[in-house]
Amino acid sequence: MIRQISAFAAYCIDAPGADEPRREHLKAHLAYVEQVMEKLLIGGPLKDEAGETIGSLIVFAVETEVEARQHIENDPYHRAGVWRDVRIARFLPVAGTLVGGRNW
Amino acid sequence: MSFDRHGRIKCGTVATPDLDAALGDYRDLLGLDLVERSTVPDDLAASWSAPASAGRAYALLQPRSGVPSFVRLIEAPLHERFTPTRTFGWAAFELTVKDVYGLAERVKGSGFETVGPPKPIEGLPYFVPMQVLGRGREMLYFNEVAMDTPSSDLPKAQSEVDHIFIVILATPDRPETLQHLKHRLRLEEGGSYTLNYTMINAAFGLADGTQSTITMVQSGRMPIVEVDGYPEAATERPRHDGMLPPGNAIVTLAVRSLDELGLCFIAPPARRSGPLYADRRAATLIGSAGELIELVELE
Repeated sequence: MIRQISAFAAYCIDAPGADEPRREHLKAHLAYVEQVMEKLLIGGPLKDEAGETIGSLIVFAVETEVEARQHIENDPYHRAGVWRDVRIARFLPVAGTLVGGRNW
Repeated sequence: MSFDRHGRIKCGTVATPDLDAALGDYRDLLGLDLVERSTVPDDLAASWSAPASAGRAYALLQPRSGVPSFVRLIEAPLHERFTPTRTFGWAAFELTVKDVYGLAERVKGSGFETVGPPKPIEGLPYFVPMQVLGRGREMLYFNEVAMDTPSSDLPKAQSEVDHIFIVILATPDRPETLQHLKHRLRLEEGGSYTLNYTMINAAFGLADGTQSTITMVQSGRMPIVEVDGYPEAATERPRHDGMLPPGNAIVTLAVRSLDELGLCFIAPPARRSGPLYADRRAATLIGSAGELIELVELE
């Protein structure tokens, strides 16, 4: 059975010098993530080849882009200026193990 | 006090199908001055989440009073499924005018269609309004201001047609929209009024006398947004792929500081030139009713 999910994906690109605010606000960020866990499909840091964090990818299970943007606005990483740019688009999870197969 | 302050309406943007024809209405008939004419840059269109608006012709107009508040016309095709006053988003721009009855005579036979002739509103002696639709199906209210309200200052026109002083936002959830405007934009809630809103009743085929509730959002005594709770029959505004919403498309507000607001903008703030932006940073967010709110930083 394929689950139909309304989702928005946020591709967050780090600001220059983001390492320090990320370290400083990691605890608050993780606490926020736990708080909104029910609204998350998946999320985590993006890494370069050297293993350094260069941003975040977060997929929210929400009905509207506005809700997704509000979750970003409430994230301590956003408030601390960790991300230079956040691109958000509707995401259709149509295939894969996360949704239990394919929907075509 | 400086005209530019937090929350001030800096511009109302209209999507219109024929820029030259619209200029005939706004410049030649309403008497606004054309202060800039060009095409929409790619990055500006992207900042509105409207990449297909890039390269489209636009015109920026300013009242003859000289106040730094503008009307921006951007060429865009009409959308066949867009009906004014039936969808969520920016529903109307209210301009302060000197002589609403004289203006009503002048717009006859022009590109503006009068949908509500000048008429004093019972219980609201503060202004006499009339309503027109432009060629892009944008709704304008022309208000001849008589006096301030108990809770807000209403600007008397210093030119025949002066600036936009209130914008009307149609929303499916008025309390939620108020929370957005108060907490995200640091604006204040003003008075709420429950009234027989003839524009809404006519648009939705509701019986005359059906009550609607509206709430003013302001900054101090400066009115900014009238939030209208729309009936359940209202829908999201249809729009062409990648283009601006039809009709009343964008509202631009001045804010003290973009960083201070901590908002998740469509694209990062960028410094822009021209009479509207004046080399200041600007960025756009999506409001709770799906409306585009462009912010220009004062600092």
